[in-house]
Amino acid sequence: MILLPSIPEAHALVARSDLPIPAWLFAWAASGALIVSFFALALAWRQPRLEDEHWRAIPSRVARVVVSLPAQILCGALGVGLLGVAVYAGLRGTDAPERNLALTFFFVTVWLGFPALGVIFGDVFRPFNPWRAVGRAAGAATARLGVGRPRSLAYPDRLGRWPAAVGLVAFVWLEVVYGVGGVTGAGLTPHAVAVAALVYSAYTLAMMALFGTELWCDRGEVFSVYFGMFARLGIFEARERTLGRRRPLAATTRWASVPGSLAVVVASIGTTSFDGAQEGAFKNGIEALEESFLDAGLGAVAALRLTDTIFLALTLAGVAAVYLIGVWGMRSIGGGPSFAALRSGFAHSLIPIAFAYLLAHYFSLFLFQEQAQFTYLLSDPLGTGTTDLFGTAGGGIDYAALSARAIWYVQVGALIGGHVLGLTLAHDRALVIWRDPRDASRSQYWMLAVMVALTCFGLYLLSVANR
Amino acid sequence: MRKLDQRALLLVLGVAALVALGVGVVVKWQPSGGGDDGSVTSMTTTTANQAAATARAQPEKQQQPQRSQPKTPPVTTIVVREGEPVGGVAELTYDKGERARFSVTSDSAEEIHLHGYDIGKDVEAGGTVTFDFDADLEGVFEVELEERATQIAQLTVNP
Repeated sequence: MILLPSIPEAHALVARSDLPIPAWLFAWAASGALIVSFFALALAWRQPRLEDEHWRAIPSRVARVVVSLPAQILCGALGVGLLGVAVYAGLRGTDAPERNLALTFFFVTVWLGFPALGVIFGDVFRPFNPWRAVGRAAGAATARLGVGRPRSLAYPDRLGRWPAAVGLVAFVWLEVVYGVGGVTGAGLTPHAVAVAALVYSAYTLAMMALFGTELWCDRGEVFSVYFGMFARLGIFEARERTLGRRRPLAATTRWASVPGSLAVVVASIGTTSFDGAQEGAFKNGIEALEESFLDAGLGAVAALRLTDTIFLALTLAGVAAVYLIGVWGMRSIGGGPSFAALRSGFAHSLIPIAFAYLLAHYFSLFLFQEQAQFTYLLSDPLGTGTTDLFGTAGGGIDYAALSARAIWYVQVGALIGGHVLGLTLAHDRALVIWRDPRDASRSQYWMLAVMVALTCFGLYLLSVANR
Repeated sequence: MRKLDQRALLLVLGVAALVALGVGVVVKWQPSGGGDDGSVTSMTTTTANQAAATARAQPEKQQQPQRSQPKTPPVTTIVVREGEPVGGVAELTYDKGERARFSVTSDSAEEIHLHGYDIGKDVEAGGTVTFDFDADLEGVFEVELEERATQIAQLTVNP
């Protein structure tokens, strides 16, 4: 057994971790995924069904109010205000991560909350996006003042969503590698998070000034792109100031045509996997590599961060490789398009898997930390112990609220559900690409292998977590 | 030919699914067959009380009455020397509803904090404190030296 020198960690944000899923549940779930896949192949439909979103305006007054200009201004102002409060808390509040609003607000409430809202309702983050609100307000103000707004630079098409993919990895790197150890840890103080938020805000506003607010939100702004990806699964969408309903899942079919989209969804799956694996599946590997870096003379924190960075990169490469092998295999079916077209053609089928991973790994953490968010962090955002804004500062987290079994069943249910939805999207796309349903089905053996691999990998990570 | 391919593949998948299902059933009906017997760092100690509680709570464990109980002191003691747990982070494992008991001995004055359960106790330099509580929250929890933020034990409570 290797004894590592202890790293002076900041106090844990998260006081509790999940139990590993037991072997019998792992086996049931894995076989369940296989059986589901078997039926999916056997009962496959023969005409594409999801390409048309069936968007219909909702003819109600509530729908009109929700997307009205005053409502947008209100939401935008709320977004800016909350960002300001969280940054202020980070700069001026306590250094104890679990008592300061900033960490829980950014890494739990926002980062995990918006994907969950998005898959149900659609793009809820868009109106609350503080940078978009500022960008639009600035645009409106310059137009009103008659100052000729400088024309936006042409955004290189090939760049696509790559800036968002890179930003996504950078965000998670800050959270789990720089911060070392789950959502918590060394170095990642509320102060550091607030400074990072300010730096990101400056960068985002500059990019919006260069390329235009809406374009940057659609391509480069990490949170818009990331939350927007999950929101494609949801059922509401505003088009030209009209709120409408659409078919669930269907809006994903248009998502991946922009270059770099595959990188975003792979980054999502890879980063979640790494976070889940570092306290379980990768633990021994990480310790061994870290040891060799320590022997090479690196400091303890540097060695751990370098090791984690390498493992994060390997995880991303591994997820990408599994998908690309599947796409490569599909080329063996004649009559299909090029490798590049197939590669982006099926990328959207990974979105449900990405959400399933997110749900499986963070569901319990979200429900527990939100109890803190809406009790003492809400009333005492700075964590000074002297304020009680809403009379809830004395509250706390009830760890008995969720049983371990309930968490296991949600985790396994999420992975199987994501698997089914991923297969559904992939099969539907195959029917568009190959006119002959039989060719389409044959191509899907490859995607099925990809999905089974990702689902079983996800289950495996859960079965060895926190052991 | 193609049709044959498809059928063959479906067959293979079907068989694979059935095999996996079989494995699932087998594993399911071998209670406590997975994992916990093999843990090397079983610092956890089972007192007579705990054993009785376990037996009451989980009758299927009686199927293995001959499982030898290691001769260990009744309460696990974690020794802290110069702010580090001797022998690495201790692993404490209980079933929900059991009485959890462990002690911490330290050569320096420390505040010991069990997260989640949120129990904090001070230990004097050269002294010992004992934690004694009902393990009624499921999950994995850290025991830390609060001031140094050094983890000294991991408390696992299984359902």
